[in-house]
Amino acid sequence: MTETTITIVNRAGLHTRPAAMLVKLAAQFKSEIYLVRDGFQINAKSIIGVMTLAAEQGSTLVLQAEGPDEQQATDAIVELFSTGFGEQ
Amino acid sequence: MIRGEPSRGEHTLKGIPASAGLAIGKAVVLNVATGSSTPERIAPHEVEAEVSRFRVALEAVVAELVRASELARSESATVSSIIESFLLIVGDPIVTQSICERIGAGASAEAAVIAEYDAAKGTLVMANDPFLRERVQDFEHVKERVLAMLRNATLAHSVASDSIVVAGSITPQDMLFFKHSKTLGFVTEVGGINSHACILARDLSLPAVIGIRSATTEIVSGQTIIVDGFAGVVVVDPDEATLLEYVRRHHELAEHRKRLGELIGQPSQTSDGVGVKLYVNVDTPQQAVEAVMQGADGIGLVRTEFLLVQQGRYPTVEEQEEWYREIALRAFPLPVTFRAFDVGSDKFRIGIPHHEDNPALGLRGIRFLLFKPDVFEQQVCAVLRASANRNVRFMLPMVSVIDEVVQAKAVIERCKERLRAEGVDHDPNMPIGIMIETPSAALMTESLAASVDFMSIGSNDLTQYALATDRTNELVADIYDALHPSVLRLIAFVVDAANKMNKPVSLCGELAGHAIASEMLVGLGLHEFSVSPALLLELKSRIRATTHAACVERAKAAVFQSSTADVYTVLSQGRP
Repeated sequence: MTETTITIVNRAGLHTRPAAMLVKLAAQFKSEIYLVRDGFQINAKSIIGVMTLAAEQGSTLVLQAEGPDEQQATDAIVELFSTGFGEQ
Repeated sequence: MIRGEPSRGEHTLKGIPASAGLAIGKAVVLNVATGSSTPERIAPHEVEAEVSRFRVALEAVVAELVRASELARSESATVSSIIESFLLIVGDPIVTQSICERIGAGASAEAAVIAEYDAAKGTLVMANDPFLRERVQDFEHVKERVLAMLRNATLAHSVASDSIVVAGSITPQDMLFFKHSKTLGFVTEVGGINSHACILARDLSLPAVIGIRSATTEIVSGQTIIVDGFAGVVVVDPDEATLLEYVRRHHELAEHRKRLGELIGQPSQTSDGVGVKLYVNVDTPQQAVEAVMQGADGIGLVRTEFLLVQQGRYPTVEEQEEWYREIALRAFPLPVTFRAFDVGSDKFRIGIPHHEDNPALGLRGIRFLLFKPDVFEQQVCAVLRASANRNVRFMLPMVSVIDEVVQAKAVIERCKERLRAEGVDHDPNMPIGIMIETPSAALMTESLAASVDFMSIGSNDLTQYALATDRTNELVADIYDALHPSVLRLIAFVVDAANKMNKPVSLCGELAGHAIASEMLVGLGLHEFSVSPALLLELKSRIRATTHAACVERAKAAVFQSSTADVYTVLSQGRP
């Protein structure tokens, strides 16, 4: 299993559009992918889960991935977060 | 299904007018109330069939949404993005899996769907973020679609082409389907006049009355009903005389609309030559073109919140500038009034720090903008940048005390200095105006007028605050009426004070388009109106058909009445 700490850099936080982008990306991988915030774990393939995280700009999350393509999944999701979901 | 005693004979139900027009047709009552006749539990041997029933329904909802989203793409970007978010919710694999597990544990598909979506809603209701809390409605819509599909109640198929849809509530995608099936009009029990569905009904020119609490029990499918989207009433089972009268009016309306087209290019003035300026309210650059084509004197109100609702966030200065500039260019050389973001209350709520028990009295309009100076400054700079052609005006919403005007003007000056320093072309004398929509602003018009270039009366909010009646709450719909004498007296007071201070004042709420109010408003001294593009020529035709003296008579008669009903009576006198 991989575990990576990520920070939300885009201004709007994980609102509907970024949440949708994340879920669509996560769904492309076979691995189980989770996001953890303050001990609250949600499945990154669930739009409802991601929206209920209500993660705002500056908040820190832990990304967990486990499965055959865990490294590719981690890399792709870290990339999405670090580019601020193409918001800037 | 529980039904009230269907009343016999003609009767009238009063609601809120949500979209103007008349429709006469057979009612189709849609009842997708949750938790009625289906069993809660199923036997173990039924699990497999139940799971497959659920999956079939889910696929049908996805297919329906995909089709709706394709329709929406060409009709409205807002609706399209709403439907996209419905699609993501309905396609959530974790929720689907969890619903299947519930069915596996013996729940019926309906019970499992209700339990799962309600649980998700429960989490969101607790969210700190008000924007997220409002997504609860999306879950409710998706849940209703899946349940409707489970019951084979495919709404689009059950509606014949000459019918009037009566429902608890209507979603934007229902509306698009109904439009394609040539539905004549809508009646709903809930929903605010500014809900997505109502905005769409107006865009599509489909008559609608909302907020009739008992609509789906009082009206029975197959009954003849009349939807009067002007008065906000529904006549059920009309007797022959009423029916003939409405058929006549309906026919006249069609003839009238043809004749209206001939008024484009004619001056807007009373028959004795008193000129009135007619502006339009717009939400999009496309509507700006429509305004010009209809011969408007300008754009009296651009509701910039549309940009927020569309994007679900605060757009950048560049994005805003492009949008403002496009509207200003399309309207050029006519003037365009951009109203600053009217965030809060029943509208967009991103950035409001916490839940408000009384949002209409809370952090909204100019209060919010001064609370979030970065948001305000970005908007002011974007509007200034779009003012290079000198046809842009800027208006502050929800002003209640003069300090707000002083502070806002300081921000605007700062932004001008910044643009000057950067060498960006803009209008240094861009006119600044305020909305008069609180009783306090109305009573202080004279003091406020000295600090601004123009004023615009927002009759919708002024009515809500004068009568202390939430305009989106159907429980008190019968009190909310812009024709109450208290509202008319406030308007008369504002107009007198503005004239005394020699500052232009217009009226931009729904009242401006109200058929029986136009003459009275001109008589009160209002010579500028801003209405939705669909109402512009209607208003022009009414003004051209009257004299200024007749207007003054109407105004005098109306303001001295003691109730809304009396105002309606005196304003309806001498009309067909």
